[in-house]
Amino acid sequence: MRRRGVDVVAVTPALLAAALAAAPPEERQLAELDRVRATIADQIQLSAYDLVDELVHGWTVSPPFPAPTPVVLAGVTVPVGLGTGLQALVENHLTAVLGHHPTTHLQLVHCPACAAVVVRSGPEATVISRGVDDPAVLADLGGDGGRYALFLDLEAEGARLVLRARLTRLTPELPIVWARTLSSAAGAPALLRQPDDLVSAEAARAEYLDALRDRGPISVPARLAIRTYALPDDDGVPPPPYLWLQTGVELATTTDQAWTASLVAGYSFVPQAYQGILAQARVHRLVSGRSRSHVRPDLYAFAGAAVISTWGPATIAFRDRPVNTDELLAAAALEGPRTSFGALHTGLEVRLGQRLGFSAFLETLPSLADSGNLGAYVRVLGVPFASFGSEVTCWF
Amino acid sequence: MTLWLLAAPLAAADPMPGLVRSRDALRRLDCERLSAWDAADRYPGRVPRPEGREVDPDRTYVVCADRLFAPGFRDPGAEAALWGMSDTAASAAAAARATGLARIWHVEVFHASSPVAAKLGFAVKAALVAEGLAVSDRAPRLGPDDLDVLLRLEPLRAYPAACARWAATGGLSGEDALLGVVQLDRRATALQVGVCADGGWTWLR
Repeated sequence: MRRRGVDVVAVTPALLAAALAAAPPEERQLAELDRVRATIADQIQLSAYDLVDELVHGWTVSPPFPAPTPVVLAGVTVPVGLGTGLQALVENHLTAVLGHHPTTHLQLVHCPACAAVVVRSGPEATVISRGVDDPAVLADLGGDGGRYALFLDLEAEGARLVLRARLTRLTPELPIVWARTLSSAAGAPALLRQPDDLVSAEAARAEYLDALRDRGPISVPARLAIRTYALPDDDGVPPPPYLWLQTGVELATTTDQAWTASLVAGYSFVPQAYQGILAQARVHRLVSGRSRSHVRPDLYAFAGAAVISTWGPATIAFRDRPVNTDELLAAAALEGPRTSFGALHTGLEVRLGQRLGFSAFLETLPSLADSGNLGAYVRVLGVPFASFGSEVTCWF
Repeated sequence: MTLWLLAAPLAAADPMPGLVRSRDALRRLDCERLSAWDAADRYPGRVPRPEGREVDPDRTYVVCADRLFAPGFRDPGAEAALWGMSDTAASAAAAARATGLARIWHVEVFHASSPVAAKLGFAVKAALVAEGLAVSDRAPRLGPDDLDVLLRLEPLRAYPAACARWAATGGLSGEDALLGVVQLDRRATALQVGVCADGGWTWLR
């Protein structure tokens, strides 16, 4: 990128880190301090917006003035230790929310003299102050004298973020006509209300819970799964891949859907090869957060057990001794034995909006562990995982 | 931001120091005890609402959350004053109300840190309004000569002298009272509260 004849080179993070490491200790400390400040400001920004929303919502329910009244935004102060960036964000958010809610009867007006430092000299004294602290100066500068000033203060008190607001009438006695204190506990989820249509905190929480519960704790999965089996180390014929169609029921055991359990039944059919049925139970645990997300994919880990019963010419490999080619050809002409076995599996699943999921798992067949027809994709503590599966699931 | 919810008496997620959690981690926490209803309101989806079931009146939740500012980020004196600012303001306002003075209240905070003083002043004014008292944003002024003398006095004599000067110069009239929140010693975290009315200073706390 070229600007005013100067090449601007994109600095990689590695180069930036090297530059910081070479800087004097004081500069590194200042840089680290700025980074920590930015992190803290990011963390409390949404909570600050929540408090401002609650403040304005209170004004829509109970306006401080009987009619639309000009008000000067005289000052917004942020927690000690943070800079003017968060202050500007809060000011802009307040202005936007008030603009969308004229029923508050607060009309923000611009008053440059209010925030400026003014000097007033008289026979008694020379006073240096902000204009908003000396209404006589505002009157001399042509103000109508009937305005009000709004002050906002945000402060971090332990784990709580506290917003204080007051309205002061700009007359010589500067009476405070209205004041309120609101606090937000750290860790409480931000309500994220729409700035152009504020609702009460209770209504916002109800919407949040409805979004969490979504379709309720019970859903019906429809799944397409494929299981493949590892090649044996010695002579033997592995089973063919199995394609399963599964459906059942899944239950979210917690409101945040961090734990779910499912019970499904499946059917597999390949003409002239095999048929199979299975019953499978699983437990899922959310590992990508504390609760299900509405804006990003969720990652679940799961473990489960299945009972599979299969029959057909191609199922001869499910036995505890190696199959040779002659036996395989002989079985092709017959119905083939019916074999039932149990399996244990564990894997990972990515879910998109709790509607679509993709998973992969490894499965061990304990009763066929010594079968010469199955190898192992991986061995964990001596346990062979002979089957690898992948699935696509839709929830209804 | 780490958050633990501990349903007393079940210690499912105990934040106390132990094998995997240090004392420093505990110092970064701010804990409070909530009823089951308050916890369900504040943390929907994480704490089930006690509805449709028999409510156990003894069931409470201890909610521990990381402090917004880690220890050491801000000056320790300022952090101590700001952490308890709501309680300080509420107690000062309650003390003012207890005087029974039907005046227009002004607030002055004397603290080593100017930003902290401004914050405390804001909090005390809001608390006074919440107590139903009439409050003014006007700051009574003193001339430079008066300030020069007062700054040379020890604190316990300076505030009564300032109160007398306010009355003498018209900074405070018979309809006004001033609530002073004072840090007598720069090293102290506790704040004293006094009232200036009719030219006389009274320590409330």
